[in-house]
Amino acid sequence: MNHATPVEIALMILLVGPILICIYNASRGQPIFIRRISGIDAIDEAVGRAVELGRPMSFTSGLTGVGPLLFSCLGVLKYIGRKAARFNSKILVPSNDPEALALTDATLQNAYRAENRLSNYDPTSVRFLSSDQFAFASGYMGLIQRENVASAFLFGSYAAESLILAEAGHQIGAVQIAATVSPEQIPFFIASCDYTLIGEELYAAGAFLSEDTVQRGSLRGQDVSKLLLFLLMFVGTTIATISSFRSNEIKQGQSLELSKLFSMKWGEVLK
Amino acid sequence: MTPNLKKKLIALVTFLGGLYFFLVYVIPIPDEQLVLGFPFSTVHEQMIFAVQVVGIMAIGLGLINIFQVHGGRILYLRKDWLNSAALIAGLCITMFVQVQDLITTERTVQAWKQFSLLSQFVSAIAEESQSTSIAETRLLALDEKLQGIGRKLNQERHLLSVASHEAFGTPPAAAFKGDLERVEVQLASLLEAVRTAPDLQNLKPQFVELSTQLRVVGSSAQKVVTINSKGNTWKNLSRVIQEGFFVPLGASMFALLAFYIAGAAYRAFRVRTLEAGLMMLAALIVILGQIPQGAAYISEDLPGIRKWLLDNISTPAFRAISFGAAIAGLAMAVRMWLSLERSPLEVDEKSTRDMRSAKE
Repeated sequence: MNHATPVEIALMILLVGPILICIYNASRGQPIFIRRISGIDAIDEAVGRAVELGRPMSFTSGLTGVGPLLFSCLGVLKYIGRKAARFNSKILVPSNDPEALALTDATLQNAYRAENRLSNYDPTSVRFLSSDQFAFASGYMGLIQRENVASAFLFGSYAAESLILAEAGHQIGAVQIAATVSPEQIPFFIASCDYTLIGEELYAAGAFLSEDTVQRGSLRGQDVSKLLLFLLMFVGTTIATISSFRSNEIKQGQSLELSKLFSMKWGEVLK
Repeated sequence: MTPNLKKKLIALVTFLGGLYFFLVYVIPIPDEQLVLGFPFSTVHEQMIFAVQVVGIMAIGLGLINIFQVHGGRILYLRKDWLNSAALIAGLCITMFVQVQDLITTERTVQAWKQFSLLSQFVSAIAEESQSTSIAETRLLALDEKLQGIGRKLNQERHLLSVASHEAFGTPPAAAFKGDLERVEVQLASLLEAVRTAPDLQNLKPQFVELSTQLRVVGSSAQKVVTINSKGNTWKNLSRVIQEGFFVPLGASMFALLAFYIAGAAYRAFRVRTLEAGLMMLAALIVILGQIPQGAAYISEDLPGIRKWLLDNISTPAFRAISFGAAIAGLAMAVRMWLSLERSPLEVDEKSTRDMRSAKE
């Protein structure tokens, strides 16, 4: 079984510490500025379009399993679900993971309950298509084309099926907003969707839409952590550059020392 | 249960679950360390199984959802009910065939397992013969154990001979027959030795030999049952569903990507802005650098420029995205673990209060 080395734990504390501090400051009322992201602003436009056209909208979390990413996606779904409930618009949520399905269903129900429209909630809105990647893609294509959705939201983790899903929406002229943490799929979404949230912007979307002070504080903390990580990378790059000017023996010795530092076990540290 | 209590209970369970996995990661507990009387590795394995069991239970929810969505459509003959009927029929047929196939596969595994168990049993007898003093009662018990193995072997032979029509005359069947006969001869001589010259310590090599032969016969038995199962109707049907329908349909969907990539690339590479122009230029260099004609007819430097673009422009951008997403994921995980934020699954207390007051 793998365990964290002391340096890994120190790195974890270094990255998590600023996040917790910023959350604490935000909850005490410290104002936090968050820049606008056009993809998040466009969510309201996309919902409005579906309402005006009287056509349904779709939201999928793709291949996302239960984890932090899914909860971020659910934050966005709750926002869209509340809008759908408020304007009595139909929302379809095709799902790939049975575990995620249960959470998605509960989130959408809560969105309707929050708008006091629980009686309008359709239990068949959330649909399990298939756990298989391409069977899911096939089901999604069929569903959004039969239902002729006006807006499609693709939030979560995707693989090779990303372009199939995005092109299906493009073919029926749906406004599409995609958000993914899968770097390889970002170009496909940029080419086929109207708006694309890249990487961590997906996590920011939930904070932006919920207006929750904790989430906003966390966003600030993430930026501080990234800055620390950047400084670490800068130090590492500087050491590597300086050592490249020295002789081969010293270089090898130094790299060994550095790699030893990261892989050092507890027993060696306590000695 | 009041919503407030439910919320606290969920937060507590989430925290304890997160704490367990966090501590497992940061504290180097040796696998053999006893926890609640069991080695730590066993306890941790059971915890992982428990999490997996919850996940497997969710498959039932997926099935219920499918029957809920499509069953209703078939019952009330709503639009596209025929598609739903095809889906439900396909699901039921596949499930039935797969279960039958699973039973056949299980029998193949069992054939090997039985002999493996017998082999372990004989090994245990061999160990006992070293550690205990020779007594009349123990010898009688040993005699009984050996006879028990003989009866078990006969049962196994009967089971395999009943099902062995497909494997009849094949080399694995002949090997199995030979191995089984050798085991029976070895067993008979061991029984005789135990009855006539009850010196257990001298018999250990013979027990070890029998144990090894039982493992060999188990392996032969598995081959015979595997051949038999190839002629099994359920196995063949399962193969037709998997290899004849499921795999080609998946491959067809994957093949669609080629056409979609062409369409998307056309839209993405229309040079309308400076960024689109740069992207078009980079893509052109990467494509030409990738193919041998680029280096042969245009410039020998193209593969080098392509590599430089991928290593120095594309890879850092990918890494930056991955770093950002990883830290955001870490922050989200910490917030979830400590229940710091309002979960989307949480019932909105204000709306619940509003609904209650509306009812009153």
